[in-house]
Amino acid sequence: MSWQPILLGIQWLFFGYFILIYAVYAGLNVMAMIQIRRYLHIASLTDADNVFSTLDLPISVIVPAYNESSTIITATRAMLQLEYPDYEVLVVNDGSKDDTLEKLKEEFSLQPFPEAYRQRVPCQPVRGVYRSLRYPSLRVVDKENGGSKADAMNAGINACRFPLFCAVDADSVLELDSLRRAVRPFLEDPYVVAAGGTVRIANGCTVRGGFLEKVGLSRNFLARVQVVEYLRAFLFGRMGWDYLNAVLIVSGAFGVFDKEAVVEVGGYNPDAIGEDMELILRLHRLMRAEKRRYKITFVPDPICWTDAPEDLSTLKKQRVRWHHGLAQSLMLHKGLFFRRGGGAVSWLAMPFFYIFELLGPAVEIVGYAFMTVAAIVGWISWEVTGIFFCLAVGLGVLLSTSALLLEEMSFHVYPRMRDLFRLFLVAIVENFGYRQLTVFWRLQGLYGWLRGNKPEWGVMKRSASMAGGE
Amino acid sequence: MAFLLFAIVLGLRASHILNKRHLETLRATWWPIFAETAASEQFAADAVLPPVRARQRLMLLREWSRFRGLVMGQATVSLNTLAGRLDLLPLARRYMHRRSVANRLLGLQVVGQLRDRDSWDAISAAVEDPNIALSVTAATALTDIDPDRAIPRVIPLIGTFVRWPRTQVGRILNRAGPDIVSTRLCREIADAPFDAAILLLQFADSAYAGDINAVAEKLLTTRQEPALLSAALKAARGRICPERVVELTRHDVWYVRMQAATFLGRAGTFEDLGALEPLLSDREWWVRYRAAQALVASPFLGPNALRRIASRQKDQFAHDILQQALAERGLA
Repeated sequence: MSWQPILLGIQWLFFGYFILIYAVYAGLNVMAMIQIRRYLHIASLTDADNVFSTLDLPISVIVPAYNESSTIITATRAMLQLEYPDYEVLVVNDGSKDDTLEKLKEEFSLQPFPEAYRQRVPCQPVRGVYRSLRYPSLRVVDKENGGSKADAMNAGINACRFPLFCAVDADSVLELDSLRRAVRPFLEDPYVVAAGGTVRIANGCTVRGGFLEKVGLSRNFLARVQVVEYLRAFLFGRMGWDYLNAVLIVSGAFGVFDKEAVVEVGGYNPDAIGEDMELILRLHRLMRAEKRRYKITFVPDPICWTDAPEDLSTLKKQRVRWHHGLAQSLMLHKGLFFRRGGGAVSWLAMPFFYIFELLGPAVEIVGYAFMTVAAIVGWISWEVTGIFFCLAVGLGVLLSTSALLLEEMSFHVYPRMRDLFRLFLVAIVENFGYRQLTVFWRLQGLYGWLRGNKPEWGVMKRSASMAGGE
Repeated sequence: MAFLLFAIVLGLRASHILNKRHLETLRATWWPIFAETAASEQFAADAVLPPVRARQRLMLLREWSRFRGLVMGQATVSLNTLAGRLDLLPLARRYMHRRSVANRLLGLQVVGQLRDRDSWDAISAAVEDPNIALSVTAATALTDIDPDRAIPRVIPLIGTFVRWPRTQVGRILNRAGPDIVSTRLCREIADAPFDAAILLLQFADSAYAGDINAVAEKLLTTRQEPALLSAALKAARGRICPERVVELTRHDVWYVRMQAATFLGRAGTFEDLGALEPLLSDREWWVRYRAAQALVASPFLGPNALRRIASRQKDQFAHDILQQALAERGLA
């Protein structure tokens, strides 16, 4: 029996896989362009009349904090200065072992408050609720540690008062008008149940008093690569899926939710590693099952800035954890896969996430290994292997550049010309080593999930930009 | 391909920088003129204006529209006269019929600001455009031109175009003012089907209290849909059909009970306090909370009376919620 047809088949399988994944990305790119143009049209209309309307919905900003002693004061102060007519800030101290609560008590003159707390979604017991004597819109919930951000978020949901809530990380840097921009989809469409915001990398930016003062690019290579990665993930990844109402992830760093919808699905899952994605999948599942009209949408404006890891060890832990979380969430909701009446979520987004996002690292690694070994032992020609690697790298560069194009068509966040050149250089260089390294980490995440390991949380070393903002 | 894309990126950036420079130059020249015109009682017909190059006209149109959107009253008349001198109206009319949505939006906005009655039919057709941005901008333009004529056309569409941004609709109704909006809006709410009535009730603040109370009373006494009852209770601004509201505090659906409690807190009398106290033990937190807030805000109950109510509650939930409402008011 000749092995030639089998080898040829395998070779075409890998080629086909790569071409298909990039074809889908190209499609997402086109949809993202349409969606961003549409968004900017409407935004230009409503921005022209920059007056707060009495129709703005009140919102609770929930800030979970575990051992955030060094950042919590700046973060809370920044949250209290957001431009929005009616909102409250709810800091949830998740049983911190450091002096997070003491610092909050001292800085904001907190007093115990006899809150008639009701538990609508499960979480660890609440030890007390405090209210600020100086800021009427600030409350602090002190609870026993639940071992997860999800548990702290659930306590916040139980205690918050407004119909919308905004989930924010304590180390997120928000734009002054973040809330107004993120709430707009809820005003424009009564069927919106969740809206995600675009998260950008704060490394290299100037942050003062918890607010972004000047946008810049970090000198650190890893941070720069993550700028391009985030552009890809948010601008065409999520905006593309938004076009189809099939957004599967709303970042935990910043997202606005309809509280009743979240309570209906039982709140965040404390056992989920990627609690943000898991919640969105659960919302899709419920809404689809009950045939309810709904929309989970995405705001492309850069409204939230976050610190990215600048060392390989922390980055590795983050990527392993993210992939573990992805695997867990997708498997928990495999019922959404090819479900009748599931729309683009079931028939496009879920298969895409399973085949290309979840299994992508395995296929990619096996593909690289197979093509290399096959070329060495002479099963296939070096020309074919060369074409394969050129295709993989070239398409990667093309995708990253198209993300830069989307950014340039819309927000021009990086004002200096030399930043554009640097980002383009990064878009090329990241395909030689960095991408393969992250693919390997993602594979480790997948393996860890299969083995039932619990992923590690790295201790995030704060970048100079964020440290300067304290 | 990637290099080609990056070349496009650079091209876009270069064009962005050039446009920004042109815009800054144009603003430096024209904004002082706009400001002076807006500040003067009347635009001087013989004023000498800087020349406008053909390629600057679109930018000038946009800047004029932006500035025009910032002013009110007599200043708008002066700025419209200036626009006449600059021949902006024919340009705006042309843009209104362009293919690009952005240009059509600008055209519609400017013909509205210039109150161009001759464009009425074209704008009126655009009101039903499937593009939400276009339809809502056209509705705004019609209201700018002739609110008396526009509001009867726009209000029925609010219930139809559920995706019109509510902020924009609120702005249209506020610009027209309650004299024009109130009766029409309330009549539409009274006759509208369930979904449209709920949507329209969100704009109840644009109507006079008397009109909206009348329609809320009618809805409360004739309709049974919980969402509509809740929306009517929320919209009402005065004391209406007290027996019916008290009856609604015992409704099966929790949000109707909650709105009834809120309503009694807002417009209830001493006699209604009896209906609020049992709600402190309601199975829904929000009903308990609103009832407690209503009791605490009541002008008929002092701190001692409230503490007495709290102490006689046998239900722990009722006691806790009243304590919280008292603490929120600094009375605990």
